[in-house]
Amino acid sequence: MKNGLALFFLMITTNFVMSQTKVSGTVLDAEGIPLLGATVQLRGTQIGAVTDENGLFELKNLKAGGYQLIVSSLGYQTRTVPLNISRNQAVSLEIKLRESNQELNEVVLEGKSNEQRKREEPIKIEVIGVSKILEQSTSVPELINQTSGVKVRQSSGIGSNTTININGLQGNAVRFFRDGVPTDYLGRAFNIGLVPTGSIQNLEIYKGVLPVELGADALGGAINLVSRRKDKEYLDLSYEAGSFNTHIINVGANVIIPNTKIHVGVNSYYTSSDNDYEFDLETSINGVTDVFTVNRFHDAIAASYFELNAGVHGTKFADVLDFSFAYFTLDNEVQNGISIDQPLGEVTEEEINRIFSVSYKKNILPNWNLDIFGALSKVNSKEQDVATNTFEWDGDVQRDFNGNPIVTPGGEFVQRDQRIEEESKVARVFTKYDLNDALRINLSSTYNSFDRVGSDPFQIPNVATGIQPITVPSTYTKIISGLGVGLSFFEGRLQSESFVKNYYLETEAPNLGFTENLIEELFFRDFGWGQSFKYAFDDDTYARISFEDAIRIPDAEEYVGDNLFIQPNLGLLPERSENLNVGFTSNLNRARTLFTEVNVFYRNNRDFIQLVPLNLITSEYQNTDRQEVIGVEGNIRINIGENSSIRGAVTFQDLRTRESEVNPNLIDARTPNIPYYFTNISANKEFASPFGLKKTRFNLYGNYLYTEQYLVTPVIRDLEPSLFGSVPNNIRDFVIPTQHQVNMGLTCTLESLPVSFNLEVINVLNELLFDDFRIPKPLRNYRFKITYRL
Amino acid sequence: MKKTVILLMLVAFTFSCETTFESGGVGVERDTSTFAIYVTTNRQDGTGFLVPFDGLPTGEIDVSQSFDNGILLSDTRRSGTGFDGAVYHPTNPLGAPGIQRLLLDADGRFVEDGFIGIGNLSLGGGQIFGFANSTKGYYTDHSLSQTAVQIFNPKTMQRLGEVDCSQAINAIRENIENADRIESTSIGGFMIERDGKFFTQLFFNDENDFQVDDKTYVIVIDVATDTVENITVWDDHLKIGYFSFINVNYVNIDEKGDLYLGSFIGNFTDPEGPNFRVLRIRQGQTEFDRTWDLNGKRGDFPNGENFALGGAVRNGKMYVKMMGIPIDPTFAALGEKEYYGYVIDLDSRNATRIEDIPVGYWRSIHGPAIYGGKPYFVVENDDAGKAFYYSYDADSGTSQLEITIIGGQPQNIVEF
Repeated sequence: MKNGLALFFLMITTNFVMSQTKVSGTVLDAEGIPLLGATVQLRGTQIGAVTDENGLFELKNLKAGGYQLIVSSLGYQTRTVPLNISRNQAVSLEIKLRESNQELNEVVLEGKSNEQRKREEPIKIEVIGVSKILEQSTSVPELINQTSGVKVRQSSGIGSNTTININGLQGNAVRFFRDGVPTDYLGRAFNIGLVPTGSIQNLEIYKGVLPVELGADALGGAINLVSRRKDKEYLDLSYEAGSFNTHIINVGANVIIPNTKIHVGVNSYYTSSDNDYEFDLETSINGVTDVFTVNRFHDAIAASYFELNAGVHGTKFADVLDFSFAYFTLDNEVQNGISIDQPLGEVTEEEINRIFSVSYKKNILPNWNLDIFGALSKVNSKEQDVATNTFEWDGDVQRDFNGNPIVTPGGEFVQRDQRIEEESKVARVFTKYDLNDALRINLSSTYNSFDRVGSDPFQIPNVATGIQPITVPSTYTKIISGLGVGLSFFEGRLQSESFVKNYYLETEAPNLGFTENLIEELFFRDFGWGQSFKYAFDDDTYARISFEDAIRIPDAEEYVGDNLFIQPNLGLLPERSENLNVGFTSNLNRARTLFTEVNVFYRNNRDFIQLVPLNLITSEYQNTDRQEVIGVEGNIRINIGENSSIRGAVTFQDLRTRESEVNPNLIDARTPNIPYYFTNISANKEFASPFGLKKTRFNLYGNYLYTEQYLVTPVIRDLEPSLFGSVPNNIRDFVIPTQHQVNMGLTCTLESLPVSFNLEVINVLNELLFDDFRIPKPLRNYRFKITYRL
Repeated sequence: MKKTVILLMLVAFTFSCETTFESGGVGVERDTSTFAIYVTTNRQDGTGFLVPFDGLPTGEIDVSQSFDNGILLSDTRRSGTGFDGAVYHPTNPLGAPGIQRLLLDADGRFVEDGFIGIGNLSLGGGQIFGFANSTKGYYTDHSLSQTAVQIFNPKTMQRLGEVDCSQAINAIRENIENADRIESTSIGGFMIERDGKFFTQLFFNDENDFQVDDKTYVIVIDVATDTVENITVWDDHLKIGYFSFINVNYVNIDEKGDLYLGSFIGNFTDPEGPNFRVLRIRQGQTEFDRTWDLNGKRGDFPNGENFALGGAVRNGKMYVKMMGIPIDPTFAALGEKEYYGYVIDLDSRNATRIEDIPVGYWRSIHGPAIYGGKPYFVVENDDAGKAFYYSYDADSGTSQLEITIIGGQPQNIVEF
């Protein structure tokens, strides 16, 4: 109530002074998007202000006279506006700032922009302004790896499977969203190892605590891919060519039909690569065991995504109403399984996805937003392992000593000709209501379901029933709803965000072990909650604390097994994790050229689900362990003048098993196959009009990524190599060695065309790099990109 | 200045991260026989340690205290075996298939000492290796040949050549009724030498890698000439040795030289489901003893038991771990705590449960084996993190707790 009175008093006061001499206006970025937090100051005075979320500022009680208005915002070029103000004059300005690092390697916390509000919410969100570095050929996983606390690993080259670790948790614990909607309906179209940067406006990383608008059972965090706005015109065309016969074409456009409120847009990409890089491997070829230099020979990928959207915006009925149809195809060769030892020569995957979606956004009242999304998709996927030969790492089929190909049954890995048809439906309603400046209510509900059935002539029938499990239709419905309350105290210095979430699961899946009841119906309902606070010491310094009691609902297979060798466990509990983040953010100097952020995080992951071998034949998913993560991450950024910056990020996360029924000897052992210490240093320098070239900019950037050695299997704590320590001989084969990766790039932008050219060298030092379970990554390789932006 | 200091500190912190590997000692062979125990320390991925001991281990072994001289290996559920002063493991430490020779160095720690890689193609009963003498061993590499047994020198770890079995195999194949369904042949499953003869199994596989006919074929190779001496046939298909899991210990020779070949299953699709069977090849013979076998489905055992592991034999008795209830074709009851030690009289086929060996779950793969003249049985039950070896004294009919393993799941004890 006190806050309400204070706000009322503030409004009265504001109205009173409005009639006085003043300067007001809006600060925008180059695209006309309002800038939050820009500093506006009259040179030589103490008079200044900071823009609000609409980019608005106001300077009051001014004396008549001449002024220099200095407008600055971190990440943007400072602008000086001369002013002459008469007595009782009210001057209104619109000031546009050009980003100082528009093509630079500034990807995180790059300054106050339209996304700043997200970044400064009580819940910690990393926002990567992907569209701002569109001219670079840096991939999405590489961008994410430049942030602290997050590590992306790929099983091989472009398009290969990715694992994202956020503050220690990974796999099913991390969920993906596009514009706030779970990406399940998109199939693999927006897999971050595949999607090019041109298809994304921003990339938001949620660490452990998710606001209610993201409706999913994300135990450890989430990544939200934010699309371009539908009510702004733009045209982005890019073509990238790289080593290993890599080609990426991206087209993004949105056109507003003149004199109408109708928009039509296209968002498409085509990616192909042979991924045929070479590496050294100790293996046996034709009976000879040695270290061979071999090439990946069956790892090509081709993916295309075409999305056409049309709708209206800015009407009475809708701020944005958009209809979209998308078509996605994927052809992928599979070179290896989890291990590099066995090359696969004919295993393939295909996917076709047709997606229809509609989105509706409306500010029903100035303080009441409504956001509705619905989508239907139909995914047909195919996995084939029907080869009659197996392969050596030289790319040839295995032959007997007479040189004849060895005919082999059973496929190369697991013989299958698997076709799966999946219909997916998703619907999301999100509404936000601001009761006043101090109280906000968010409501969200996300419905996600799929119906799946398949065929595979090679699948072994269930022993008890003679039925192939894949042929039995299954359904899976998940509804995640949330209520959030945002409170603001002390003129906004203290903000609070509270939420509760309801998780509901309904699934029907085959359980052929029960001969009388072939379809197992499962229901699950539970609640989670979270709370976060942010306290701002001043405009640039604040502390945050956030907590969520998060849940991950087991997948259908985890409940009922595969009806072959994985036994059902209907008593399986959902995984839970208590996630805590505590952070401090500040600019270290008044010039705002030195920025730092430190976060401490804690995860208590209970009822961890793992596949446990029961005996020589069967396995079962069980709630086995309690895992704990304690970590610290830090960022520092130094702006050197307007055109250079250096950024450092460091992460240490101690992931350990604290309780284990399956492996009690490994209590306190470090969780394997997850990097636990990594740092990143990136630097860039922009050269405006170098060599007398007008309207030409060069941007030189580099990035160094250090990853400390880590184990691929757990060992007791006493045997673990210490940080930067030596590795005992008896475990050395299970250690992924320390890695040093340096990437460098140069972008030339011809502003008058406007076209930019980019050359990037990846792994400049030609170091041995690994991902996943010792899967080698490419040595030094190159990318060239040409971009046309309007 | 402030910026520079911070930057330098960050860079220095990062570049200070140098890692060194401890230098490994040169492996030296020991004259005296010693023991090592395979212990799975991570049930999820099967990794574990091979830990050496000066003699047959006794008492309480806390594996975590023995890690210093043990070596971390993947796939410890499918353990290796000891021979002539070394341990031979079926993969390299990281899991690439082959034959990995491991020796103790001067400090008594295992070190890698030679590796023969084999292709990833594994057919029929699975790839396997065995030893004829100190300079000759045999192994299968289905990627090299599906009709030959490879020869290697276990000391130098060099491949020496192969035993071409194709002629003998073709002769058998001609007489198989449904030979048109044969997509491949393979040799493996088990390997054992006896009196200059080497025994291994032959498979005729269909498109799903299942045996095409309901027969068991065992090839007998003459070690001196590296030629096929005989292929003996049993009229019922069994996976002897169970897919090259040496530690199940289904293959044994008794003190008289009789060879016992056991299995619990034929094809997975065989409607009879699990069926513990043991066949015999008498000393000096290369043909099955058709007068004798053990057969769980036939009702040889008192409670209809049909699922057993192991087959250590001594003085006319066979020692196995057996599920105390019949196991149906779905294998559903394998998770039950019904796993007992049994002694089987080889003449009468009577099976007697050893009552003073505690009941446990079937988790460890290690089948009963003879150490120091006594059969040893693994017991795992609800005592999380512990496993026990009990020895059995046939004269007194009593058992005794010999070893308590803390911190892992024992998978084999090898003497080398």
